[in-house]
Amino acid sequence: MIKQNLKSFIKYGILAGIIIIIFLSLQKMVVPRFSSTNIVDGFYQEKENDIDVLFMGSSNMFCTIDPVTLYEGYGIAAYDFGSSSQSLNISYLYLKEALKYQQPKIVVLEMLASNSDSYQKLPEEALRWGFSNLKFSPDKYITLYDELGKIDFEYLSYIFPLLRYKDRWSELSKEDFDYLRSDKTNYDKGFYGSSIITEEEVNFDYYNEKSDFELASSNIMALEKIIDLCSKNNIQLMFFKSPTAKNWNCSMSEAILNYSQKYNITFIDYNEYIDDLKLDLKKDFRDLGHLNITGAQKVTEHMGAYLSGNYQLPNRQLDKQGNSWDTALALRKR
Amino acid sequence: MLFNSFDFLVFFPIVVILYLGLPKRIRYIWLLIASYFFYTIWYGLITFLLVSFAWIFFRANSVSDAFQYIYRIFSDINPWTLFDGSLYTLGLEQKECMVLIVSIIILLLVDLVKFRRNQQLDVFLGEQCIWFRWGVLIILFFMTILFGIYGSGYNASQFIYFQF
Repeated sequence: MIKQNLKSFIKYGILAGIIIIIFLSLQKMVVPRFSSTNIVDGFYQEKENDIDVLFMGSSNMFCTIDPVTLYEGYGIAAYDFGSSSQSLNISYLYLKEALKYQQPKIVVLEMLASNSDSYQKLPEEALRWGFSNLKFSPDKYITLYDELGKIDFEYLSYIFPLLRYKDRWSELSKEDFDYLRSDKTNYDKGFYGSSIITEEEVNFDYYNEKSDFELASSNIMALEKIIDLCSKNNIQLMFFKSPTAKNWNCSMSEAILNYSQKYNITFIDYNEYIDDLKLDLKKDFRDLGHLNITGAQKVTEHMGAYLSGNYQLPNRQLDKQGNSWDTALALRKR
Repeated sequence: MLFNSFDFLVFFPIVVILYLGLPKRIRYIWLLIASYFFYTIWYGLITFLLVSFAWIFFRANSVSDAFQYIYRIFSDINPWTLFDGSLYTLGLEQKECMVLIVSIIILLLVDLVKFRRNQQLDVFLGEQCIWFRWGVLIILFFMTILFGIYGSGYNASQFIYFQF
């Protein structure tokens, strides 16, 4: 009897295993590859406990900080771990996820997300970009529930995005199949560089406008969780704001500065450094909200100098056995 | 068709005369065709045509549109649209038509199992070897997941009133 039960158990276990493998493979192929797909999939490929500085936040972060340039100039081993339009509570989720695999010495958080309420319902794309590629974890399910407010088909479709993107089956291309078996290492270390130069006129009129801005309580809650998590893991936290000609003004910077001073956290607002960095408003922006490659190089250079001058960070170019940043740099120069 | 109907009065002499006039080796084909007419196929066909015709009025935006469609059915003779890809612009793309054809074949096979072997599908599958059984289950499961009409983009009532 026991033998027969065991046999059935093994049989149905194998069937379930086959279904799960096919399901996950199909899901990987059918779900579109967002900018965050390469970032998150690449993050999971990183060697454990190898990253010294973790940059977090939305596209404003990963379009601004180029870890390969940081490594080339200062030997800093960094990774941009974020997703487009990321809210602060999702940044907290990303930090928790990152700490399962890495022990960074510094976490640098881009602050754009603090300009809106963290728990207001984000547009669907922002949630998809944020959640689709993270591994299964209770933290992910809890944050999802916080965002969606109920458990229904929509909730399920974030856990299994195949249910949302199934209609892409008729658009599948060779690249979709190849991606399954491809090396998912992100040799840009999360950076998304664009050579596009915006045709719109970039100016900082909006930045200079004052407004009645206060940090939303949901954002304060998320920031406090991030601060607490960093403190428990002996990680130094730093805030920065990328140069942006929209969605951010000086009152917001002031609110962040006040908040960061309360916790003795450094905050660099790069909107105040436009002239110092010699940012060319006609050439260094991809659009009104993001820098292009040349703009990113200038900000990254400043960030590298600041980090190496103010924190005890190892020069990883001296690693005896080489590292993945060496490979990334060699590929960049090829 | 009833024996005491007017239809049969016309039908029977035609069948007999043609039967006697046809060469012996193809008489059985004629008998088969006549039998189909005698039983229900005739009514089935008429019903199908009438319902299809009624759908034109059901789906058209106005009565004049419906008459316009009917007029065009008989005035615009364009059989090449069956071959030049026009059919794929009506709501189902080529790949979706392939899925439709495969699905109809599967449905046909299930019907065959039901009516030829007189078995329910689960009983039939239970008698097959494990590889066949699992293969069918896995294929049907993933076909349902991938091609199923569900999720945020679909509304069941839209499907019922075929707004596609």
